[in-house]
Amino acid sequence: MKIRFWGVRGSIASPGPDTVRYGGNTTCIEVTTDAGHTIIFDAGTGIRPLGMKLMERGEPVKCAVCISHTHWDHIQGLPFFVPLFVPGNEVDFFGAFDPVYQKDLQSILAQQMEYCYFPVREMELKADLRYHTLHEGSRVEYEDAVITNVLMNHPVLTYGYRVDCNGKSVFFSGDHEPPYNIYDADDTFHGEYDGLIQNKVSRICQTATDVDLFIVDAQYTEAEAVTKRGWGHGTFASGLAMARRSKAKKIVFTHHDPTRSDDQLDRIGGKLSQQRRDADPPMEIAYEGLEIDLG
Amino acid sequence: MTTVSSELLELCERMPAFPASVQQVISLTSDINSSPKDLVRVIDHDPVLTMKILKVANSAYFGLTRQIVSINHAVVYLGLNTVKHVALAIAAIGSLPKENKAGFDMDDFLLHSLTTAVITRALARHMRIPEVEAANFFVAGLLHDIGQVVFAQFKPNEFNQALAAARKTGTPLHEQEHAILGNDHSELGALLCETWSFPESLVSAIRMHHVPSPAKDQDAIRKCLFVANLLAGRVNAPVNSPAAVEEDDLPPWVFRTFGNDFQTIIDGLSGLQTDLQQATSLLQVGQGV
Repeated sequence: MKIRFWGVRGSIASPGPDTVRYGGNTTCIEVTTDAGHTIIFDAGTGIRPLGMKLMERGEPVKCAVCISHTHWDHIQGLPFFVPLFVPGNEVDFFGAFDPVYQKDLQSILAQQMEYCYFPVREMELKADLRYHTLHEGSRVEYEDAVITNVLMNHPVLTYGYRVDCNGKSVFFSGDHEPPYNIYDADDTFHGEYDGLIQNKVSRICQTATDVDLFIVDAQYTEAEAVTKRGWGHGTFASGLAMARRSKAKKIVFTHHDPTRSDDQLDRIGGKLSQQRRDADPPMEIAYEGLEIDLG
Repeated sequence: MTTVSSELLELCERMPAFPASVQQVISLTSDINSSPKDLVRVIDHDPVLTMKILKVANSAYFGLTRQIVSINHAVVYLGLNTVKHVALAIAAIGSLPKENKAGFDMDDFLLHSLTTAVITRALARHMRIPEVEAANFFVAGLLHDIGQVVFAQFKPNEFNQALAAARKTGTPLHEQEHAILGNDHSELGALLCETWSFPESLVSAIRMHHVPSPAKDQDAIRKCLFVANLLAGRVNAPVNSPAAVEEDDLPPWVFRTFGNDFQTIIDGLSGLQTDLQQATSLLQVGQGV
């Protein structure tokens, strides 16, 4: 199984001289199974170049797109994903139901292609599109891989995904902030709430247990996170803690803040190497074009 | 009635919450500095908000592996922001009217529901039920009479007759509901909760809250709710359905488990008065609405 990063930025695409090395496209990760099938995590702006590459093969494109959640930075590349426009291509979308708007994945994705936002409507797309609204804890067999999902913690319903293929595995957190206790330490419900949080974290780490590659949202530094509580993103430290608890064999930090410059990411990477414990798995900061072969 | 008609279900989906909670949901969600725990407190003290959020959390769209009983659990499971926006969507429907054609006193209903919720949880603590589970007992107390609000909203004329007959004859309201509406609020509440995949223990406690269980019954929620419903009537005498139950009518396990008589049981529940004051303080907030 091979993994390639096509978009590593969070919130909004951030092109410019300060982001040229790590890249400015928003989240999109390509997983290629042992048999050569394509599973894509999220459809941020990085999915546009991925679509072009898939089309270059000169044969019908068949792929699965697992949407962690439908915030713009995770779906905005979709109208520019060329395979959707070509007859004979087949795309299976996976994602969550929206409990607030009471809409399924297809309705939400179609909405961003309405006439006032985009010239081509979803119903005009020529590829064969199939939408699958997943329950939490689903197990989907896709070609030679198995996709499972777990609910994360973000201001909109978000799934983390695990893909297993021939004994190798990758977990992608989507956007995730470790849930915090809304009660003060001396409140009656503090203990109860803490127990519920522990259960949730255990469930996530169980889903990701023993993965070969753990891809995690690390939008903020510890200092930034203090003022961004409730915004739904993790830090390098919180991502590392989850990866340790899941006994992951390698960690990649992604979803970089749009203000994060290449130099800052270099410095953070250097610091992470210095602070790395012996028992820790190798860790890396995601950049556009990073390829990892899990063998 | 063994199922809820699709028409009634649809009406319940669009049922608004109580005025004070609606006002507070709107005010807390528009204040960026408000504390999430305050919002949770408003939701879990309003039977309609609680019912609707549990409906979302337990819906087939999410995990079918676990069932969610408390609002805290729903918040951790679905995320704070999702629960906040579901609450806001419910608040946008409007508020339950203070006056209704049924002549049903909504403030009295809310007071009785909250009193029962607090006492059910206090009995659970008395039985040394772990705190995480005690939250489920609170919800059972809060929702046990939800069928009454549904009747008041959607069958006001018949419910008005049932209320009047119960007052006039001094008989329990649920008996009059059966005679006039063909069903009673405990069954209706249970059917709604069942339809929305609430946990079986909650459904059965609501369904059987007028029926004392056998001594050997292990269902602690049902046991506590049954007793709490009666004790709540002693603590705050209900206006809507004043029929009193005599202690002599109760099976002996009630007194073996909880105390020799109602007053002894009430006095033995530690922190009850403080909890009652806290729970019902939100009612005062709504008085000016």
